[in-house]
Amino acid sequence: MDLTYWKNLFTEQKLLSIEIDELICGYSGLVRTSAGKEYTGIDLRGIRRVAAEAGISVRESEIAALRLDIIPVRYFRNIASLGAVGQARLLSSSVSVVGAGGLGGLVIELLARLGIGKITIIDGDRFAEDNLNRQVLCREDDLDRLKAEVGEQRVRAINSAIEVTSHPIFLTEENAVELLSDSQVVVDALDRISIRIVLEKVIGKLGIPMVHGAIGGFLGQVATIMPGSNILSDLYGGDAAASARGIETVLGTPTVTPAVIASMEVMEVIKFLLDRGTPLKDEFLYLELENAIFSRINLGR
Amino acid sequence: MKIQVHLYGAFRSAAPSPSFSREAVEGMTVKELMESLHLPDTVYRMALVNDIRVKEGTILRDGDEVHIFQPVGGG
Repeated sequence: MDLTYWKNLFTEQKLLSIEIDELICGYSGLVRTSAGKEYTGIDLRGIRRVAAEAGISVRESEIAALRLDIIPVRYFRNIASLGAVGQARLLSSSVSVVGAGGLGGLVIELLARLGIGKITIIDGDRFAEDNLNRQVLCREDDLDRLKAEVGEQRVRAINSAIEVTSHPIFLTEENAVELLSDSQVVVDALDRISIRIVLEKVIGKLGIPMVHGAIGGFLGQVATIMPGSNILSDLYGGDAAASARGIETVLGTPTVTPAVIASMEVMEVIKFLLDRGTPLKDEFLYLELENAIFSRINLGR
Repeated sequence: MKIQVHLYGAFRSAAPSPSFSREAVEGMTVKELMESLHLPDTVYRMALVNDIRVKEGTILRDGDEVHIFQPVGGG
């Protein structure tokens, strides 16, 4: 076990402690899965006990366990793909989601289950009836509630290890830098174009990437946009006729498309945070769901 | 001069085949190409020529490969 790596992974020296290790070992045990696999794991009750007795957060307990190769049971199904180190890294990461609607609700749900340590939700909107076809955070009982608040509640209910903050306000050029300054990457889950262009400018100031996603009918696009990019302002600002609008104004935003794009956006987050796979850097994946055609469109130049 | 055109999304149905080569008059611009395909300008549309993002006034040259798609904006 490479201690240097772990010392660098989190600056919380307090987590590198014999006492915490002993607590974790005390509450962990051999777990047998229904498929007949065995691993050393620690369940939710155990993790909470460690946190309470060590005076650390649930998130910190989970990171400490993973360092010992002891798997919090809730992440077991992630581990074969992510590794204990990868999972710990995600628990040490901070991601913002701008928008908690069609794309955002799903992104938030997935980031919570994935185990992203800090999630910031920004959305000033309230749920309306025509959101019900696609916005997973919205049940009939949630109509008129603030989306960001429902999102925060949902994250807490799914994964109490996550430190979640919600801002029930709209992102603007004036507030963006402050709202996003704590994040390593921001996910675009917006529903209109003008603010996306603002977000692209802001990430340039912050030096962090944004994962862009958008839908219209059964069409969708996803890309990781690097700071300093002008792709979005070219796409929507450049040549567009003054009367141009997104095709979603014609095709609507049906149920299925947000789910596909949101999942792809979270996959881009994973690739970026764990430095693996082939990120769609300044490259669109353009999805035409009806004909199952997926095209890579290089927009980098 | 000859150019290659690739259409995406709802633009695929603008021509008998979504990928095709065609003759073009010297000096034809990207905008003129889009107009010849009757692509509406009331929705966002983007052209790449040889993988480079271009403005619609860009003049096409022999052998150019043009990709035209509709960026979407909903969420």
